[in-house]
Amino acid sequence: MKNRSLITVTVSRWVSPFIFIYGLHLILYGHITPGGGFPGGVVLASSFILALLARGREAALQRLPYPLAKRLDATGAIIFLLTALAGLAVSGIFFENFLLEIIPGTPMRLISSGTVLVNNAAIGIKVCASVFLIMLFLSVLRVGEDEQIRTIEKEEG
Amino acid sequence: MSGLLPLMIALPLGAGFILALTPGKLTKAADVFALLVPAGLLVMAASLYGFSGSYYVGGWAPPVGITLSIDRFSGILLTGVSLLIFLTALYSARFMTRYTSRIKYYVILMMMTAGVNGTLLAGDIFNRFVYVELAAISSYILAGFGCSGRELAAALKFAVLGAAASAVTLLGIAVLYASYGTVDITSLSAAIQAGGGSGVFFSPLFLAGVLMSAGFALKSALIPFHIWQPDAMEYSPAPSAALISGAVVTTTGIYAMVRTLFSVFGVTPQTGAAVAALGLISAAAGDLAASSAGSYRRTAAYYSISQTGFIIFGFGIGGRLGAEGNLAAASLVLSGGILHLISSIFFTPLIFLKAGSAEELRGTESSAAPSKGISTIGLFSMAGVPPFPGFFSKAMIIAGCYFSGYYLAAAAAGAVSVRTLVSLLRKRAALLRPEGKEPAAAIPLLVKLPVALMALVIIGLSLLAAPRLRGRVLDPAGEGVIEAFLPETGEGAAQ
Repeated sequence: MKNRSLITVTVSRWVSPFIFIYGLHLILYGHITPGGGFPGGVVLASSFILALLARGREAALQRLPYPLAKRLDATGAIIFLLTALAGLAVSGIFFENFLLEIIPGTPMRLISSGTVLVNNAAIGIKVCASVFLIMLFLSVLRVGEDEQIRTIEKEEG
Repeated sequence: MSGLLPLMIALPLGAGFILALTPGKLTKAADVFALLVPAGLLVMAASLYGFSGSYYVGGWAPPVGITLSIDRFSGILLTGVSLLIFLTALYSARFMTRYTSRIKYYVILMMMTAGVNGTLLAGDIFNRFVYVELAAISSYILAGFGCSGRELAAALKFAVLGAAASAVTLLGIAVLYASYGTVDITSLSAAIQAGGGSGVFFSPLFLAGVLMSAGFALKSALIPFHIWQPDAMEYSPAPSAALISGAVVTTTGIYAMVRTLFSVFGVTPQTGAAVAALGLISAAAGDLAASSAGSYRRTAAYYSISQTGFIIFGFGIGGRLGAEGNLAAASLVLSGGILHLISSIFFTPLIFLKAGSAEELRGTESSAAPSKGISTIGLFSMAGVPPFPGFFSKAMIIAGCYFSGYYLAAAAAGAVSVRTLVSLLRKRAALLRPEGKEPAAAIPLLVKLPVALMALVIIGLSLLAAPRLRGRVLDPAGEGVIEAFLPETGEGAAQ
């Protein structure tokens, strides 16, 4: 993997920020255009996966370190559950869209869906971290690379 | 009251993700937290007991939204499984110290709890499938948690077969959705009954029924689909074996299968007989295989397959009797099946936890034989020795068959249970070590206490066979199973 093509490295470096921004767009506008938390999260993760494929694991881990990815994975899920529980606390129904009554917003604009935006963002974070972690472990789990698993486990502490 | 239903799923999920964020330094705190959550769930499940109703998540009504529902049948299982998970979490706090990270174990335990509770509470077949998957994937990880070679091989076998079963189940759901345009259980069963019921062979409905039954039969380890179970039970850590056999198999396997056949497809005499035959084959073959199995855990695994077969046999016969209109006999047989199902939530795990205690005592990896004493209660309950619940439940099933004129089924079930009794009693001497060779005090209290509590629960369960308690506990649960295909009782109790 040492002899990387200059073209691959350069193009991946240029392209991955755009992929990242496109992922953010899919998440933020998921309630009014096609997209949403899950596809947006996968696109976000693919910007890191592109770095992983084109420039190696170290380059990807520099962008999204392993401990951070692990924490984001759990945090996204907790945010999703908290918005559901907030619905239960505010209006007495689990998953009730309570924010819509407080901040109705303008239809077809960013702020127009209440808790759906929060839910999409939470799913986006969770899916981005999970897909990246799956790819990371696939890249580590190869025959004869046991030491690398141990290094990653050590970083985790 | 129904507001507790989403919390039964959300609480373990949230606890699992919080535990995933907990650093390794706080393992002691995680021990306490991972015990408090199942304790809270147990209190909630106990207060939900006897309640029937549904909950619309997000306030959206059935054709659009997600429904959670509970009735007497799922309520009694929810309470039993919550108690098992609490006792196993108590056992794990001390026992799991031998493995790498206890926190990771608790994360998986919480995910499994959420999956099991969700399977019991889901009001549509697709959501139930998702929860079954959550419980199943957690149980693959639990089975391989020790990461030794044999454990990983057993877990891989379990995972590959489980994934095949999930694919088949999902295909069945897709066929149903393509044919009827809904996955909500209430509207789906109404559409199926309006379309002529499940008696039509080689129809999409028949295909869906066979596919879904096969998927759930693998999860419940019935005989043609059982090959993952003895390996997973023999090599996995003792609490994992207890959770898989007591919580995952009983809910995602037996409960999901019974509920799908009774509440979605509606039982006809033919399907009831087919299910009963499948169960009887498992009951007989599991018993035969247990006679020639080697280690304690492997023998217990085959005997537990035999017990699962007996439960399925009871539900099949009960469904056939109900479909024929013989409600008194159906109620007796279903009560027997439910009693055997609830007591199997405790007696199978008891046997595996005792094996774990023996391993703890000797410091071996797996397959140490426990001493006599408490494990006898589990084995006797499986065998059907009179003061233990296994005797009463089998007697209720056989008596129901006999009084309704199914002499052949009664004779076959009687022969299988007598053979189980004789072979288990004969094998017991070889399996268990005599009491008193090792000092019992060497087993830590936190390992001994949950097992002793479990034994008390099993003895207490045999009281349910007394006519007055049976009428108050088991018969309403049986009505919960049966009402789905009896329109006249179904209308009143569905709300």
